[in-house]
Amino acid sequence: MNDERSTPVTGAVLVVGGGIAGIQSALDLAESGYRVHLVESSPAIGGVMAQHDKTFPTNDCSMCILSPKVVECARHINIELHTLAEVEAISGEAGSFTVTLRNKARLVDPARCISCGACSKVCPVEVPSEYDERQSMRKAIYRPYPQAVPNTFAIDKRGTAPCKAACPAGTSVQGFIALIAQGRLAQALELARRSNPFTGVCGYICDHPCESVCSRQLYDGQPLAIAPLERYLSDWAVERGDPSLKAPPVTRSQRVAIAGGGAAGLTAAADLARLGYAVEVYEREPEAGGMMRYGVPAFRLPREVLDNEIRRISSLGVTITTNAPVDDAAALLADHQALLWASDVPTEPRSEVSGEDLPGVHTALAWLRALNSGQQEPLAGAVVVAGRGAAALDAARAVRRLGAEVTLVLPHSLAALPPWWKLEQATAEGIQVILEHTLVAIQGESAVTGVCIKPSAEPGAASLELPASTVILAPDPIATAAPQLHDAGFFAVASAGNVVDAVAAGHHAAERIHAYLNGEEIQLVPRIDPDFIALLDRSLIAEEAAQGRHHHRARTEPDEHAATMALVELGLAAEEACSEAQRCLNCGICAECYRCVDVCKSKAVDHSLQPNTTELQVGAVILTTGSQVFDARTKHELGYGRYPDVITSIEFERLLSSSGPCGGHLVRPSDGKQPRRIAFLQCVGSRDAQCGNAHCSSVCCMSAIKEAVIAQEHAKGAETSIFFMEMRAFGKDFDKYYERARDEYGVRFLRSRSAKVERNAVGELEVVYATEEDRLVRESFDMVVLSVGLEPSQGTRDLVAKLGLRSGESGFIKVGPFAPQRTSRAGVFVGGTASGPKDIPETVVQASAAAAEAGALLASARGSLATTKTFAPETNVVGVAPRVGVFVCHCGVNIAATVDVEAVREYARGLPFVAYAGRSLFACSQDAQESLKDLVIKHRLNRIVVASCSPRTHEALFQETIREVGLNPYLIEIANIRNQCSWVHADLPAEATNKAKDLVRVAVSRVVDARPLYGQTLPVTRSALVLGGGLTGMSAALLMSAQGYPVHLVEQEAVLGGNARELLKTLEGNDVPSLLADLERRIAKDANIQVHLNRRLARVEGFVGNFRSTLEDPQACGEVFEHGVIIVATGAQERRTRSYLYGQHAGVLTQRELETQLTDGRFALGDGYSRVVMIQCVESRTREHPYCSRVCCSQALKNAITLKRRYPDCEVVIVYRDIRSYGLRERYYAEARRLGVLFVHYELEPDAEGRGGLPAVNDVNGQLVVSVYDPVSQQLLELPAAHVVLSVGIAPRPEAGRLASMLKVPLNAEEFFLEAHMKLRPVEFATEGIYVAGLGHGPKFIDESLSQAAAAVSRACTVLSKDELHASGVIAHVNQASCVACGDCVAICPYGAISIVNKEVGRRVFKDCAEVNTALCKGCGACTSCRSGCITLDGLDDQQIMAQITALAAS
Amino acid sequence: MSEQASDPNFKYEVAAQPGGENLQVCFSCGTCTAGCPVTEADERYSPRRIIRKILLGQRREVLSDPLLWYCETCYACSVYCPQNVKFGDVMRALRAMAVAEGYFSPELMQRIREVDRLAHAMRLKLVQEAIDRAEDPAPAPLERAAAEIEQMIKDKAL
Repeated sequence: MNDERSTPVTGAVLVVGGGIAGIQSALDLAESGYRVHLVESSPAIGGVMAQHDKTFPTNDCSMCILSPKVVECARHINIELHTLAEVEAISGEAGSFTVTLRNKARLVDPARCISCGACSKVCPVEVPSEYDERQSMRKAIYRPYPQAVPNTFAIDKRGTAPCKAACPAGTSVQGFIALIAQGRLAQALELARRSNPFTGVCGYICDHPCESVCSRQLYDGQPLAIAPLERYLSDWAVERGDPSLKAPPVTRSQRVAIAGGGAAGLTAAADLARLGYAVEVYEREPEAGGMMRYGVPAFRLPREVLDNEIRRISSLGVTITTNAPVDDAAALLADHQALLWASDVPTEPRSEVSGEDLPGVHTALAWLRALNSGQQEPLAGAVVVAGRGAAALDAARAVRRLGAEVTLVLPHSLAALPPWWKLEQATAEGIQVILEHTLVAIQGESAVTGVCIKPSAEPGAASLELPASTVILAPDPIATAAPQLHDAGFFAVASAGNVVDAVAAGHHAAERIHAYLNGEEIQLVPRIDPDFIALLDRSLIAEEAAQGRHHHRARTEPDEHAATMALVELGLAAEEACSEAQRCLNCGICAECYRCVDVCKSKAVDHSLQPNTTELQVGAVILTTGSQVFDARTKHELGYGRYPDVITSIEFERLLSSSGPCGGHLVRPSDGKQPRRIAFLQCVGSRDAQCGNAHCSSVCCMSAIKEAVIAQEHAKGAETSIFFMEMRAFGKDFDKYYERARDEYGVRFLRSRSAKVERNAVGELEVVYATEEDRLVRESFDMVVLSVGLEPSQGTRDLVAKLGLRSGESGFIKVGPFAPQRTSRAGVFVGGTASGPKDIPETVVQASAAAAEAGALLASARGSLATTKTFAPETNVVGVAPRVGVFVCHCGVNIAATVDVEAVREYARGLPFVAYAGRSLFACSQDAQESLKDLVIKHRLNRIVVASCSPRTHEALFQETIREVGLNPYLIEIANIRNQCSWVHADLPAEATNKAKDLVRVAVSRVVDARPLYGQTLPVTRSALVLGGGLTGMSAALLMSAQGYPVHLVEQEAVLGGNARELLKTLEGNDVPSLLADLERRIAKDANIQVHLNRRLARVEGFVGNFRSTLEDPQACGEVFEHGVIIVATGAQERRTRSYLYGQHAGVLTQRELETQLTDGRFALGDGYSRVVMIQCVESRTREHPYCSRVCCSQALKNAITLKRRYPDCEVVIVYRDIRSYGLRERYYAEARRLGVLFVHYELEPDAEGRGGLPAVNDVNGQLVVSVYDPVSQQLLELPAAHVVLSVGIAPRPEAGRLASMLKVPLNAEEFFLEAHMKLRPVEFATEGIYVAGLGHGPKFIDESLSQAAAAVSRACTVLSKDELHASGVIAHVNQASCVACGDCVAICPYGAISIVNKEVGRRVFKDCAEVNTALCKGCGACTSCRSGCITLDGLDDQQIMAQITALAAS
Repeated sequence: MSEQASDPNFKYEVAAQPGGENLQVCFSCGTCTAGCPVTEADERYSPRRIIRKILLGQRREVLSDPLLWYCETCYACSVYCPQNVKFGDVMRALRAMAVAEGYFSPELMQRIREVDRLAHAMRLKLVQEAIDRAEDPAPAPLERAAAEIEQMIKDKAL
């Protein structure tokens, strides 16, 4: 990292993936002076950790510990969140990358959305919630989870639904169907009518291109019955007396004339009237309606439906003049500002067949027009209807109803007929249909006597004669030409194919006219982007197909109606319509019903927003794209997907969570009952070469134990059983957790991998397994939880491909040897499970480590792109009369629905010192914050009370806002009238309102006494002390130096290297001595690193940013230097043992001794038996040492593999308790077995029959013999061995205790250093500025130590990069005059901030008294329990508390 | 296990047979045994224990054991095995070795093959009978098929 760099680097970092890893990397870098772009593909950050219920081994609530980090991330000035975004490409090189991001449209403006949830309530579309693992439903407009950040809703829109895309008028078909499905008919009809004023007409006679593209037919062959649903809506309205519309006021001076009162003309008229124009329609026929009235027979379209819709249009104020043909368009245009020509009647060309002019020959449209005008007489005799026009069928059916025999001759084949030609209906009515024939001649002299027809495909074939007395020809109609006016203001619509085309043409014409008259761009219906149509593939359809039944359109019997002009098709009944609508597959997800737009008070929803791409300049990239769980359906034998009560572990987590689908009640999916017997099956999709995941997923053992324990807490009396192969409780305190689960909670552990799950005759789930003693057992359970393994997420795989990274086993990102956060591409780092399964602390460590590497790479640009917030100069309030401003929040309806907000405001106005009281819909919204600032200035307010929600989530926001107008941030008080009034007393509005008044009064009384507080500003010494010169300390020192900070590296031995001096190769085959040599060489060259050998720390004083340390120096009085941070990397050592004849027989070695002998060539197999027996867990995982040393299994595997490779005939036996080759190390376990290493399992205690237990090593006449019981073959094995190799484990350094007390940091029970938080602060101590890494923290591998070293550097840089540190203003103060120096406060303070000092407390009065180090105090208040009452907490002193109590009592 | 009974080469020999290449990767998880229809009928038979004895080098004990012939070669063990140990194939190899090393006669091997064929025929008969009577409201026991099977056994003179 110390390379000379000539090109400038960019001081910004891209972090891809917003899980805990991404959040950690982003926070570290943003706090160290870099700009961070955090990219997340979903609408919110938080990742998988947000889904978990609890974390092991401390049973912390996962969300509770994550939430503050998430919020911090969102609020950080130097972190830019890019949610719903994906990385499309990255070009450039380390130090200077260009990133292309593809941003999906959220369709909700985060700046306006105040997350009130009103949109979600009205959204009609429900889809399975990803957050709840599809166990509950969410809406199409949603927030993934209540604490989501950014706290903004998003619309899940897969695309435009095909039905909508196919509709010429752009009707939100999926939208009105979704509303029908919920019985919201008025809203559905209103939506349909937004884009189509002839919704009812279309319900009857539209061709419905929407139905032919409906995805549902790919599932069960039947599209949604969209036409009948549309008709149902209109019929429903007509039946209930469809009200007229309120005429919009005429707001514009221009007048528009429309020639033609058909669908196009009337649609345009309605649109223009709504826009405020005076519109006049001139219709040549006696009634308006055009082709709808004169072209379509009444048995297909009831006239009341048409009349109703025309009536509604005229009720908009449109004047419709009938019997008024427009002969002189130019004259009409002269006294109107625009004229729309929408009067085209399709004309029917001559068919050019002989006899066409005979009496009794008609054309179809003309004949229908006469019929529909009431001018048609009953027909008798034979009638032939022929032609390809759409009117042929209507004419034929009408003729039939007039009483004549009809033959319909069509040129089409059956297959070529458009789908809406319901020929079967015609034949059922008694119409004879002849397909694939064309009429070639009409016979007759003075009247028609018959026709000649010929097969259409063969003009040469013999003709066929049919008798006929009347012939109706139906040629394809052609459009008439509109008048050719070239005047401005003249518009025309071409004659359209069918009603919905005409409607579309009408909309379009109105738009053009409006644009012409106004010069405005308007958008009546959203344009459809052809690339954004939601086309579902079959598998997705099958998955999403709802369980609805399909309702065929009911129809009256043909005979009954064939003789009348009454309707043939009956509509849907209400329940049919509803269940038909529920068949909809929600192709688009969002149905575009726009209800969210209507209800959003802050106008945040905008469906017209488009996806886009953006480019970012960054210097480094960190991939934190994580993993996903194995798809358990592919292990079909385990029953997942077949039996509802077989669920995955992540689903079980959601089930346990109180924010989960069942509110934390543990019930099983099939019947909602509480399960009593629960089985956990481990290694599902892990350690399974057959399914492609040969690796171990590392976390499932502990997760399952935690889930079993929590399940027992949730469901009293539950019995939990965990089926496992090896219990991989390898982490810090994991083994204790395992034992507690077994011994205290009674969790049953079965060492068995179950083969299958079946359902027995009485419907119970049966787990089939073989016990270790080979008994085959079928055991029934109420519920089975599959511990599904981890594999790289799709996002990880995509990025590996896009960035050309190397991937390793199972597709995880491959990392460098001894560089677990480096990928194969320079400048691209990785954190978290993208590079292999790991649990939360390891993820956090690696994420911090990646941040450290990125920071080191970009150190020269630190601070170049980071911004700092500046605040207005502070207004003095001391000695000024309080002027309190009270802001009462409605929180949308959250508060206002229960609490009478106005009454609270009015009440507050009357309180003492209140100078202003106001209300706001959402006090936290951007505009409300701006208005608050204005009001502070206008009313000269100097104290603020906000009556809203929880200070936990919102106080910081308001504090920052008032700082911006110069008020001290401690002059604000929040009254939580939402959680404490409207929520908890939702049923008692009057009482809730009174309580809200009380809370406001209390808050005002307290804020009146508030004083401005100022946190202390502390300088920072920008250098580090690293304790311990092993690999961890060395690499920490180098990385710290690369960040640009000087380092003191202190080592008690005479050389650097520590334990690594005795190591040779890692399990993966990486060479340790050359790593060590490299580090030594680089440290020697590094002028920034001062190495202190043969030195120990003698004394340390000070606090974060300002430490002063003294080294023990045997010769001199000690070296003293100042530094800002401390990294503790003091390591651990191999445990000494006397067990198993160690030290008594030369053949007994430790693993490390074996490794050394194997390397220096001293190892010899001996003459007799060439067998080496390794014994694991020697004095580990026992009562005396109740922890796992984590590395010994892998060390044994490594040495066993070396032995087998070098001496193939040598027999190697590993006697073990659990092989803990976790994560990607599993492959070496497999490799050892493949090479022929024999594994024999033992337990610490013998079984009930006295078999098993610890192995024994005996010296039989100089020959070592190991006796161990093999449980599978159930025999006692006597194994003579040339060598017995002991895995002795790792012990803490004896001097750890001395160091811990010197630094005032804790150790755990085993005397390893105890970090601040096991999950989220794994390399920090609770004392700020001190960090821990390496073996001193607990046993771990070299790469894990190096990762921790880098993580510690990263955390330390968040301190060292600052110019100064700011302590909180809320700190404790000692009244030293009255202090009796009892020392209780010193003992109670968790931060070591109080000490007893001797100082002057009055004039020349010296005494012992307590003193608070303000830099260390965290304001927790524990010390205020002082018996002498001489400690107070600023911002929460006794006076303020008494004022509150008094105010509360004085109601 | 006494040291004398152990043959360290045994596992390599079996692993060298076609289908035996993954034998040593076995981690004794027991899914083969749990999924085995023969074990379900007779617990003395366990694929996992047989593999274990191979890995322990107990050549004589494995090859001389009559349980060797209990396997139905249904390959369920291979279906369940997460390590791709093809125990069905291993079993084939063991039988060949047992005959070659004189623990069992080739005639016995032949005779058991016939048993397998007969067993298949018997199953077909019983299934056919069950299907034929599927419509019966109260199907009688499968005595008609049983009689035919008795005849088949007599004909085979087993």
